[in-house]
Amino acid sequence: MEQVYQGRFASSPLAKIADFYIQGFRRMTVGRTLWKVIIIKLIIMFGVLKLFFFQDFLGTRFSTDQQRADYVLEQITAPAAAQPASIQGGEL
Amino acid sequence: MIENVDPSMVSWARAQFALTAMYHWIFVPLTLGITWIIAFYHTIYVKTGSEEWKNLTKFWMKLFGINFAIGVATGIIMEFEFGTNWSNYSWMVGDIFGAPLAIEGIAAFFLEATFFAVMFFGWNRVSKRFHLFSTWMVAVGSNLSAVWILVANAWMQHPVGQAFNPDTARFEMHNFSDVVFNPVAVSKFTHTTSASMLFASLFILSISSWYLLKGRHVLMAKRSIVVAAIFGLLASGFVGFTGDEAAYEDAQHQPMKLAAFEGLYQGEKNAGLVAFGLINSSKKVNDDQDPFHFEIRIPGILSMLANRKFGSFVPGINDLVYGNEEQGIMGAAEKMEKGKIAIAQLDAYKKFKKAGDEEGAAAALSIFDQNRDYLGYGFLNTPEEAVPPVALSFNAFHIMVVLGTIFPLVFLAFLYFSYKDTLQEQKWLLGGGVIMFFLGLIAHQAGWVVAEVGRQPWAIQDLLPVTVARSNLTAGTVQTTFFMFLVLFTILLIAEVSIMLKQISIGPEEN
Amino acid sequence: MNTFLLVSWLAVIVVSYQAAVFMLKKLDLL
Repeated sequence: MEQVYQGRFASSPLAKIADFYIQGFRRMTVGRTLWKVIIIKLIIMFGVLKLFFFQDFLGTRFSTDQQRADYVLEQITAPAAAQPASIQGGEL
Repeated sequence: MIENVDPSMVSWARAQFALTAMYHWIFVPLTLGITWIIAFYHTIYVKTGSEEWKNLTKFWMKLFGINFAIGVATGIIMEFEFGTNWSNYSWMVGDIFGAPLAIEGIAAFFLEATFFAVMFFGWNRVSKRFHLFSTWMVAVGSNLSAVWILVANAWMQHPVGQAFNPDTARFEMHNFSDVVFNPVAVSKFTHTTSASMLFASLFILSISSWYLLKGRHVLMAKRSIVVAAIFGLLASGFVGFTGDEAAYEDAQHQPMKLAAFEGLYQGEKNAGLVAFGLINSSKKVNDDQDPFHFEIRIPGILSMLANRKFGSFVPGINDLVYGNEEQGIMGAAEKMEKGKIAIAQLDAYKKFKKAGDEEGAAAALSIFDQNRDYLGYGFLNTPEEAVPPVALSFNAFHIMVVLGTIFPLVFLAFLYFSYKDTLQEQKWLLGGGVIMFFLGLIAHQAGWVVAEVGRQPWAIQDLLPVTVARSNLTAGTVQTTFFMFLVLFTILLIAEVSIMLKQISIGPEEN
Repeated sequence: MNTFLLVSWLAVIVVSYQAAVFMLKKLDLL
């Protein structure tokens, strides 16, 4: 038979909700297999892939936002920096 | 340094994003669409109180659950990729994407934690009304959370409500409402979600057809088919309508994409739509090869589609690359000059700021502002680089449209024979029905290929090419993760699809 | 156009449900 939480707060809304979830998970059939798959996936994604292979490029290489902004600005103005001053165009 | 960018790194990074996006897109449209159909079934169950309708609803709910579990975490990988492979892009759009993607994540989490749980766990445990309400909320919630990622994608295609801040090197959101109600976003949302409704209808059609062929769960299959076919039929109409809107938006904001997916090199008034064509995939924009080996054009239609004006001029790839003075079209070559000025002024601004020369900085900024709309073009080496892969865009678009035309005919056929009550005898139609799901999958993927391949070379239309958007990494690391994903996804796909197939072969509970 | 698209999007859902129930009744499948 289903176990229901007994005690002083047995009828409190929170306890009823918790019980709802607990019973729901207990009664899963196909759901159990699906949750196993989900948990394995999440461990691989966050525990392996993210940790070792998908570090945030700017996050790991720089410590302040200003440094990151400066780096990106440098990256995108590189074509101009490579040109000699005479063909930079505009009025300077 | 841009000059040192490893071009194969960009290719591998693009391939990796395409792989993960296409894998994600196998499962998401089914979720977005089937949640509505399940809500329909559940409503009918509550109305009739019939145990059979209850079992029917629970069955499709179970398949939805499996699909949902398979799809979990396929999206988050792409967010990982933003930070690792596309750091310049990720930094520059951070202010625009930050809010929408955060909202999506939070909304989706709360939705799943509450209404999903009630939908799956709530049979006989909550009131029938609250249970039904939860099922509807699952449909509403999942579709609403799709809004945000589509807003983000629409912004890439048509970057509105923003201004580039040269101090932070970011596009800053100036108008949240402009970003959310971007006409491209609304058209994209309605088209994508209705295409998902269509796809889910095909999924139900396919499985139900298989049951009818086997003579199993006949009543359940017939009922499922009627509802799915009607929803699919109406959704098909709306998909066509919103597709037209999407093409119109493309003509206004991404004319190169439209020209590419129609294989239109030479712009013309009264431009025709290619009804059928074998595109010449070896043609380059600056050679004089014929764009098509063979084509059948319906005259005038493209002008109507693109501009909603009879006989109007539709620019071709040549016009957009080399310019067309008569039509007032600025070519990529001219835009490149302006873009180079913009980059040069940005560089000058940076140097003046560093030297503490405020006047010089202001002057540089003012010239930058005059040319900022063409910033991205400044990074191109040749004007021909502004052209996306034409053959791929063309083929993807036409495959999508042809399939999109077939689907409503299939739904009509199913409804007709259901009306005649001779559906079970139409083995040919049922056999066709079984493969419809796979055709739907192709149409869906083709649509996204049009949207994303058609926008090349841009990560942000006109403002940031894909080659600049990337991180300064070597191809090696990206190659490694590409193959890791390939292996991981293949294993997951086999494992998860086998769970789905097992439940389909078990079928619904029968009384 | 935005408003029209969003309203008709809702209409597809609402009309589909009504039409489906109507059709099921007609075919004696409800």
